[in-house]
Amino acid sequence: MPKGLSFKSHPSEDLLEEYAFQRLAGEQVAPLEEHLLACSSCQEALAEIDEYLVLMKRGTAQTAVSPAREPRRSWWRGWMPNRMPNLAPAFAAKWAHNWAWTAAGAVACLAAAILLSHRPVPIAPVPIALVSFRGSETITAPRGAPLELQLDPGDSSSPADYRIEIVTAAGKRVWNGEAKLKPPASGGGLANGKLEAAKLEADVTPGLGKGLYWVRLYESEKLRSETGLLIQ
Amino acid sequence: MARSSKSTPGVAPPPPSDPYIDPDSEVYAGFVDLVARIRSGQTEGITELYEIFVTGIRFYLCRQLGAQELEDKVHDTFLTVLQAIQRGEVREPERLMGFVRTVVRRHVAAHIEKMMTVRRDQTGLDPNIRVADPHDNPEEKAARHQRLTLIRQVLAELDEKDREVLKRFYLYEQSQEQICEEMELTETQFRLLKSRAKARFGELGKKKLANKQNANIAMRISASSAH
Repeated sequence: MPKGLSFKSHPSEDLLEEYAFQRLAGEQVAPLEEHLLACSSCQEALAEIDEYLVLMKRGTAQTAVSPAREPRRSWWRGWMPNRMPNLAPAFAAKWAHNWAWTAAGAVACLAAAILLSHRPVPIAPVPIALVSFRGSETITAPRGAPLELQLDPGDSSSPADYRIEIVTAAGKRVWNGEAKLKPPASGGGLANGKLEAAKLEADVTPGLGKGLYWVRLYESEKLRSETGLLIQ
Repeated sequence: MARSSKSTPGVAPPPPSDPYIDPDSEVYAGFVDLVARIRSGQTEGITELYEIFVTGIRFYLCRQLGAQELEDKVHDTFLTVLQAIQRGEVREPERLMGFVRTVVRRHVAAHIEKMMTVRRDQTGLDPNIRVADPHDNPEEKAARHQRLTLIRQVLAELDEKDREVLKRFYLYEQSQEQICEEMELTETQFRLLKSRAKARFGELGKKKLANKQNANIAMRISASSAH
């Protein structure tokens, strides 16, 4: 604290907490913020409160998923005494024990049968139209799914070689392949009230991991466009 | 005066009787003198102004905008305040803290608007843009992890109802009144629970720190006896 500036009163911890939660009304915020601008001890207190709130938020969020100290009980242990209240406890426990092993065996057999009969199901490629407009949102695609990229070849009508390259945000190439020019189904006419145009398509398999990528379109090895693609 | 509600185990802090804040007439009178000195060109006045406000400005800006390019923003803001004082634009010098706050808030608003404009006008995603990594560095990460472990320990020591109260307050950000009403608690019970949890957190933290220091001392002793 610089010389000659010491405050006689400070805001309470509760008030700072309410401020951190952004619950204070305007007329309360102004004097508090003015004080905070010049009082280093209150700055420290607020920083501590901010940190505590974040920790508590995370801590309580985690306990919401897995309650602490609550001993995990098998559902059948809770079920048995209710259904067999008159049986001797030792007999009930033994019965329950045997029953549990039988149930576990049955579940294991069922799981094995499912695994053996399992055939990998091919995932359908997700069509992604790569178009960009000024100020538009980033194009997103799901993680791990094969992609069917669709690009606009522009006004070029030459039967050029098209190539697509996908690089990470750091510039590392992760996919490279040919893009095929697909003529419009209607032969360039109107379909559903819209003028159809040729499209470039490329099947990207396997799917990409989470992150931001750049899709570069080359026409006869000359870079034509670059579009951002966010995999989520 | 000490802060009015320091957490003490077992003792509920008093309810917030403020809305803060007593106008501190001595501090306000000091500002009148400070502004006069800066206007008359005394450099020690500028130094004093810097000492009083620069930490607070940095704190406010960092809290609102993050740590990226923080020092530049602090410098710009301080310069605006200083130049305004030198030009005689501070009409009520005793309200200097309010003036500084207004300037800082304007800088924050201007910065946010600028960022919005930049984002809106970007024609595409420029791969050359460098964005500061908002994540903690490894040391901060480890410290935070340690504190989070302590919080979990505190929460684990509570019973289900107490945990529910804290969850409602910190996670779902329900007000004290709402929680007390829905969970049939008195204000004192609520405040006691909150302050106990916080005190326990501090206690565990201190214990952990003490254990660490003891371990360090033991290591130093064993290292020196080995020579």
